[in-house]
Amino acid sequence: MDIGTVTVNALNAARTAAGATWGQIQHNFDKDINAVIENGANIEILLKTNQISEDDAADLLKEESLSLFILSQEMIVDGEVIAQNAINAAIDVLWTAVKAAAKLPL
Amino acid sequence: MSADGGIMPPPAFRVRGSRAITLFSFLVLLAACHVQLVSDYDEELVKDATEVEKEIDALLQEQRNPVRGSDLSYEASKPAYNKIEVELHALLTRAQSHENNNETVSQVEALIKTVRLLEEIHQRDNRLPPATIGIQQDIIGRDISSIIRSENAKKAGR
Repeated sequence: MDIGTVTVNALNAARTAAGATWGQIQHNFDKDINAVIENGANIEILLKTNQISEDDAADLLKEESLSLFILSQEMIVDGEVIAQNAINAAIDVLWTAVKAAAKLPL
Repeated sequence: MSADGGIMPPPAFRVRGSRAITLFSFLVLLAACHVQLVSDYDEELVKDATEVEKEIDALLQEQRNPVRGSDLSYEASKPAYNKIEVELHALLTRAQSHENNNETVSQVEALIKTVRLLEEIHQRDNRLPPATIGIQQDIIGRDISSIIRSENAKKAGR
């Protein structure tokens, strides 16, 4: 598994999914993603220098992959919170406008 | 004239009346319905996740920097793994108890799989390869931080 490519693809997919909200997501995921890439490279070195077995390397890479998945879920939650707030703010504005038009007490 | 002898309102007025009912229903719905895409913030989940993180870190730190004469074998570490597994399941149950919480549930499920992979390595080699302990600490620390950050992000939801 080319963890670098997988990681970059995962990040790009998250950016695409987040769309316009990506810029509003507070956490800097690049730092986490870079750590995943670095770990991937270290696992390769450990395998090449016989410090770990192939099975261990495979399991560690699975853990990195699961870690990317966990980060992707965080990105989704961040995007959903932003979307939820935007929708509810719009509902509030609409409700206020309608009440004003109908001369209901605000 | 209507069937009961009353005067029927003209059709245009009737349509307007039905529109008014529709509009009124819409307003009632609008006032009542705020959209909820994510669950509410759960402080206990954050506490539980922090506790699990401490347990896992204690296990890994013991492997990384053992006191003289420590038994680092898988068998000796099994009670620690069992305790962690129980705490992780409690965390999963807590996450599953909320509506609109699929992402957090998926995160905790992925964390459980990660800890099982760690346990598999330990069981297979009988001792965690020292060179991998730092990587394991990094992965699991990142995972739990992400779960906690996701929960904290829900605080901003309105």
